[in-house]
Amino acid sequence: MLRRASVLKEAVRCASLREKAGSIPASVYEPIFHDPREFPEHEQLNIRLQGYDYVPLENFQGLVHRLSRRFGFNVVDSYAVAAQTERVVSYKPNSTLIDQEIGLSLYDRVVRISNVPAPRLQLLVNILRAHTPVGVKVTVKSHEKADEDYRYIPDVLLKQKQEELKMLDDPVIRKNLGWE
Amino acid sequence: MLSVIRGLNSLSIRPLHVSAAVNSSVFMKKQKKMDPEVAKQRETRRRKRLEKEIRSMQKHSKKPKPIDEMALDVRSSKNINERRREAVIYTEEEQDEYAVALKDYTRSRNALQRLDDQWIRDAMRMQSKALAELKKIDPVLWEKAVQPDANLPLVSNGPALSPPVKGYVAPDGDYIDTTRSWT
Repeated sequence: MLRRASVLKEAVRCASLREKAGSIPASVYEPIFHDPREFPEHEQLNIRLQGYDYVPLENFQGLVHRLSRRFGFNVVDSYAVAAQTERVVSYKPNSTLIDQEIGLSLYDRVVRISNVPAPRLQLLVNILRAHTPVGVKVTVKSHEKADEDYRYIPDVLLKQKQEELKMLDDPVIRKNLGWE
Repeated sequence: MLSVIRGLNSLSIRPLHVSAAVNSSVFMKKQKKMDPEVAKQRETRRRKRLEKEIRSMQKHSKKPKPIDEMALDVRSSKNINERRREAVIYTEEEQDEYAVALKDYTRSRNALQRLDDQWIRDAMRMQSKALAELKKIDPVLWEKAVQPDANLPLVSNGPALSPPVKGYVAPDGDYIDTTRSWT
């Protein structure tokens, strides 16, 4: 009799099915996403290599790529950018007559890496410094849109159209068009 | 005398004509009031046209700057056959010698790469360990140690080919930038 009463009591307490089921882990409804990141990360970094000597620069680009992979970074892109060219002239003594002249081009290579844990960057920079060939300048900076744009020829007509579209929001121009 | 004064008087009260003030510039045509409905329609039409043009232009707009050092040199490629060398035939001993030398070279490079790999693994392991210890001692310091580098960009130069020449007098000259500009 007593037992029956207790069972009844239990049934009243857990009135709904939902309650009887007890607490359900959240992962039933949503998968658990594990975040494997140990440290805060740099989103995207550009390693820009500049040098006057083409062959060592190309080889070094390959090395940078390889080393970044060894660190477990994701190499997004590894590309060449148009070189900066210079004309170097030397003048004859006490005049502006050109004595000798030579064309120099500063070649430009970029390796873009992503998901770089912040403390690991310094290790990469250290090993790159140890391996930098003669006369190569290494710049490590975070990726910006300007770096991407620098690769391409700017489109004047497109920019003009975009400007025009933006101008339609200008109140002065709207008034002149008689729209307001 | 009286007539002279009257003359002066009439001079001083000669009426001064001033044209009505113009609110807008003389050179601008006066805009007619437009029906707001029509104005709105025109605006949307113009916007749509512009957006469509921009979209169609964006499809073909991304042209990379030409990379001269990677492009084919047309003038040299035309007479490339004239500049081909005949293959050198080595004796068997020479071939062996070269093969051994190549293997030695490969082994040495491989050893260096292994050293690098070892260094990377060790450095990462030790860094992780040190940071873990730091986290146990002081989480605030760990937080600071792990933050992304604020002093980017980092610039470093490779070594120079030779030490600076003592007493070198630089010749008089100029660097003239001839980089192709796209504007």
